[in-house]
Amino acid sequence: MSAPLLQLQQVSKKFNDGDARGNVLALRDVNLTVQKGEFVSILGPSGCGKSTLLRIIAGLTAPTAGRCLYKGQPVTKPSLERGYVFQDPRLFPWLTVLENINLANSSINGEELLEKMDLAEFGQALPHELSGGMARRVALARALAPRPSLLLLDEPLASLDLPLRHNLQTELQRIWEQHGVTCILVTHDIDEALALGTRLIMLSKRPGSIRYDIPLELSLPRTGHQERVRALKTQVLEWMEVR
Amino acid sequence: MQNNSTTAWKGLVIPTSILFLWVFLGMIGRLNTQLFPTLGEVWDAFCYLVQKGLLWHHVADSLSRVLAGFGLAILVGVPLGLLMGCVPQSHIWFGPMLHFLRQIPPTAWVPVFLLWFGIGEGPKFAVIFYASVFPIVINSALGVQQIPREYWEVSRVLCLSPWKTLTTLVIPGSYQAVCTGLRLGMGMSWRAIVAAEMLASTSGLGYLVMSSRSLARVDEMFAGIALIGLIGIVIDAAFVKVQNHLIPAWRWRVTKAGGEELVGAPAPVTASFQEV
Repeated sequence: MSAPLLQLQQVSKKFNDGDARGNVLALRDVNLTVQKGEFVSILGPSGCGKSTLLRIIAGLTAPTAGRCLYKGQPVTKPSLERGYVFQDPRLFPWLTVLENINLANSSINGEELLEKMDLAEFGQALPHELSGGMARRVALARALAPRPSLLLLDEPLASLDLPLRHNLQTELQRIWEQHGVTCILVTHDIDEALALGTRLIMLSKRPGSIRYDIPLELSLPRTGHQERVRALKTQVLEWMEVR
Repeated sequence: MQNNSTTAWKGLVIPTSILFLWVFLGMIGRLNTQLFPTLGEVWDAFCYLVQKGLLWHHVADSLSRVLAGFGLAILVGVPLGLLMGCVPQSHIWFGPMLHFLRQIPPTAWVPVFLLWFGIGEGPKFAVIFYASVFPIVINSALGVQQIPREYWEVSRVLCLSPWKTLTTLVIPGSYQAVCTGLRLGMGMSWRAIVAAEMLASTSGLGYLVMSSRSLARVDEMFAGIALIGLIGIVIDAAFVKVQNHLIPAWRWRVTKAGGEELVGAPAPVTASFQEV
């Protein structure tokens, strides 16, 4: 059998603040295996190291202990195979939407991607002309442009209002289905985690480690399984209280 | 400059009042014209210099020196500053040296430069270069350092090459700060060239002012001084105009607003007083 897409083995991360408080342990002994085609929702309280976990997978930061393997190879630096969507859109304000999307690789067809995301007429717009939701869609398109196998989503829908969130959640689902990209979504929104994931992982509070890892074997869209989703949510809330 | 049309007149109130007072004192004969000419005399001197064709010759000499020295300072200062900005902790290595050199007035180097570069144009270029290169280097470096860490991460995640990072992040992101540096440098070099021409030259506005002293032509002195200030203002205003219209998209810069959300914000257009 070939190596799984992603493997974290005993990953720990310690931050050195450089002040009197000394070291802060953000993650402790995280073991995680992600197979191709999964949509993993990672849920946890704020400050539990969710983002740090994603940054380690992306190669933006190295674990203090343990190994992070992508397709069997240790992750040492970012790669275009692993797309990253940040909490904020972080578009370069002096580049047009199309230029932002084509940043990594100008050979891909950014216009086609824009069309797919309903942004066709905004290709020549500058980021400040976009609404918050559009800017996030552009950030998503920018991450998808190099055709990654793994998409890392760091609360990409935080601070959006509810209707917009729902819109973009549907969008994410569609991308996951159509592009065949494996997704890891970090969020602190239970509904979002349950609506999108095929697997739910709950982290403990700092230092973050995996407390629960449950499959969500529900077909999409989840609206047809409201009872089951509600029961899961009650369960998850209960787990969160226990912590 | 925010509301150009509605507030600009306020800045003219005080200069106009002074001019009126000057004319008034001249009319009632209260000025010692040996030391302080009347406005009419200064104007006559100005017209005389223009008619004789001397003035443009001096102005052109001063300006061309500034352009040469300033151009060299751009060629050296901007790349050096950007490089320093990109290298973490470079300020620890270079900061003290830069700040030491920066404290020395360019004119203090004139004797040294005369010795090194002869009595031709060389020392003047050197003085202008010296005067303008520090604000250019320091502001360019600062501009790069002010690009939020978050955007560097974007460049890393997208695996941008160093060249691509330079052209899509470093240069546009530091553009406003570089322009501020260039503007300060231009102002410094204009002041420095006049001073340099006072010490060692046979042409230029500084020479004009200095030589009229030896001829006791106090009216020409004033005409020269006023012209130096006026040209300085015109250059500065032209600079701001060019800066804002050259590459409109680059007026947007990355700022951290509200701690979380990163947005592009229009950069302030002028820095009227902070340059002194």
